[in-house]
Amino acid sequence: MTQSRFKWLLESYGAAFERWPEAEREDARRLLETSPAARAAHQRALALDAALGADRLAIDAAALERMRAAIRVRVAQAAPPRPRGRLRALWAAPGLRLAALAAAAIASIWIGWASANTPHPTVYAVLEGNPLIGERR
Amino acid sequence: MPASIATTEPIYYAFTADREAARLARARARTPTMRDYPGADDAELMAWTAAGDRVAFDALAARHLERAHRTALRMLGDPSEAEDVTQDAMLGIWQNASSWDPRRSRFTTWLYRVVVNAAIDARRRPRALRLDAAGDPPDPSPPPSARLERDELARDVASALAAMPDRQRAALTLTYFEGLSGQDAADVLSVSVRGLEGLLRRGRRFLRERLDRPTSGGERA
Repeated sequence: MTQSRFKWLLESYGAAFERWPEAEREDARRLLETSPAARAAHQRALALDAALGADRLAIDAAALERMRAAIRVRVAQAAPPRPRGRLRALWAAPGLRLAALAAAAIASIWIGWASANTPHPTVYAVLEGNPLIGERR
Repeated sequence: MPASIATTEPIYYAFTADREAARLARARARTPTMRDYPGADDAELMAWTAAGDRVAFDALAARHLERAHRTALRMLGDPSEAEDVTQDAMLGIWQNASSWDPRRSRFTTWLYRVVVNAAIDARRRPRALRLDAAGDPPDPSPPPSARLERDELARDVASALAAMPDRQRAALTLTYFEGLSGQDAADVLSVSVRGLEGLLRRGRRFLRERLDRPTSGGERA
């Protein structure tokens, strides 16, 4: 792990390696053991982590009970959940999505093939067929 | 695929080999009297909720209410406002239960997303008086000096968090306080992991600058 990668992750996730991406934790620990610069940066991050840890939340159990009761009342009065749109539900099925894509691909190929094999009259042939401007024999 | 699923579920399950969808289809096929609410996982409870089962939703709310409220409180700072936002978010989950897709995200990821978005919306609404801007009332009883220092630091951190841009605060809340991995927090905020790391870095820098400012009681180290 490079110093700059270590610094980037340290400034993102803080000093506790448990928060870091799992694949990079071991490399980070090794760098911390061998590099004084990494250790100094880690100490600074620890201080900020400690400050964040000072902000403790006290969750009031009575507030939770009050909210749960209120939610129960509101849900009892509310309409049932909105049903999922039929089209959206159909689109969610991977089998149908695949079938729709296959159908679209087949249709495009067929349209391309059909238009390539249909004889198109040239401008000259159209003009020639016109009795007013066509070639007179 | 078992015959019971093919006969009781909409046609789209017949086209998928998705095991999770088939498992939830079997769960939905159970009548309410056969349902094991405490033993059901989040996906089963959500499948029953989407079908209008209020008991299933109550079990889900009991399981996740504290998490939702904690997040709202971290985001808003004001307990009363956080209660309102938590309730609104839970009601939103009831109303939109069928739009959650277990193949796309875990239930908790979706829950955090709903709560964080509701909290950000609430902060954007104009209010007559922002309680967090008004500050805490002074404590009449002088506590011991160590506690005083810790309380002062906690107040400064809370005040810095309240002043922080919403998405940076959300990123810090999810990774530092809720313990989500970088990938999960990025999913909640609908950003890449790199984007989340940018939010975290800016958030930490903001916090450090705020805490390094001289306070009325002198400079903090």
